[in-house]
Amino acid sequence: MVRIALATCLALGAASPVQAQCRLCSTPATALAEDTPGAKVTVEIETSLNFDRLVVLGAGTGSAEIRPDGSRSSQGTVANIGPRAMVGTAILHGQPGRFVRVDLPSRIELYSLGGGEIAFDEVTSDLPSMPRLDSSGTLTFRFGGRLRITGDADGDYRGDLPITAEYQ
Amino acid sequence: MIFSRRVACHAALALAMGALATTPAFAVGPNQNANATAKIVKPLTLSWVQDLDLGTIVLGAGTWSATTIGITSGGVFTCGNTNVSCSGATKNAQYKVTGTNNQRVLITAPNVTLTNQNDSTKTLQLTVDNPGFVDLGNSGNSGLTFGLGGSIAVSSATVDGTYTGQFNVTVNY
Repeated sequence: MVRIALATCLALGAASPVQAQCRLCSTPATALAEDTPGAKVTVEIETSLNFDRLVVLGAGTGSAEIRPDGSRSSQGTVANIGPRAMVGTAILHGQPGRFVRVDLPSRIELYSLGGGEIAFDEVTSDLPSMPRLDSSGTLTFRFGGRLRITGDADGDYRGDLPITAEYQ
Repeated sequence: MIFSRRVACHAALALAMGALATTPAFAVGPNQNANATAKIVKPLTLSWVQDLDLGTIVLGAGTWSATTIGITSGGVFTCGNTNVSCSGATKNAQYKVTGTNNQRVLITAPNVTLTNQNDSTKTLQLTVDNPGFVDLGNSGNSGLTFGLGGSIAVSSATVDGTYTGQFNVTVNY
């Protein structure tokens, strides 16, 4: 009889009541989300930057500019920018809601097969000051810049514009 | 004792090399390269080389429907049917274009209205034979000459006289 009572007491002690969870008591998390191992921001080039055809008068100095909003202008010896000129477009893919830092070079060189070289500078984009991936984990932005032409430089020019993106 | 010093030195060297080998790399390469392209060309110039001439066309007697007399852009002349007879030197029109090497140049030349020099109310329509384009190849700087032809339709009702008109030729890359 004594043994049975002791066993009952032990059973009651082990089954302590479960407390209700307080959903308002925990401190909200404000820290940056941790990187998921192996997760990186990827950059997809949707359209390349293309000045199409530039008609250059004489051997002086001129420039052609395409801005991220698609507008274009020419100065100096550059008389005309072809109708198929277009801004570059890139898409970032990554973790939804994360802030990212995007680096574009301020200047690159474009080269022709004939050995010619022209400068592409004042690279600009329509990225906000704090770029952030949207809820689907993407961010699309457009970029343009200015082409500076000096001398008798006819030919087909091409250059690589490296785009680097990483989480902040 | 000497042996133990050598072992200690080797161990220290191995530790140093291990530390160098495990130094993290902070350089970040580009995620992607975007291409930037531009084609730079010289402005085109177009200059006249020679006029088109269909020679002298003599209309036959009687009443007959229209027949075509013409010359191709390549300079091949055709003289309708037996109702007309053609004589005199004939030639196509020619123009010279200069620009940038290895570029295709598009030619636009609408039809020309030829006016009778004795009676301006009498006209003939010259249907232009246009090659459409020329490829400059390596002749961009020195220039390339191309021809334009044309044909007219004459009938027994065509008023005689000298008919002239002007081509309106434009070229573009």
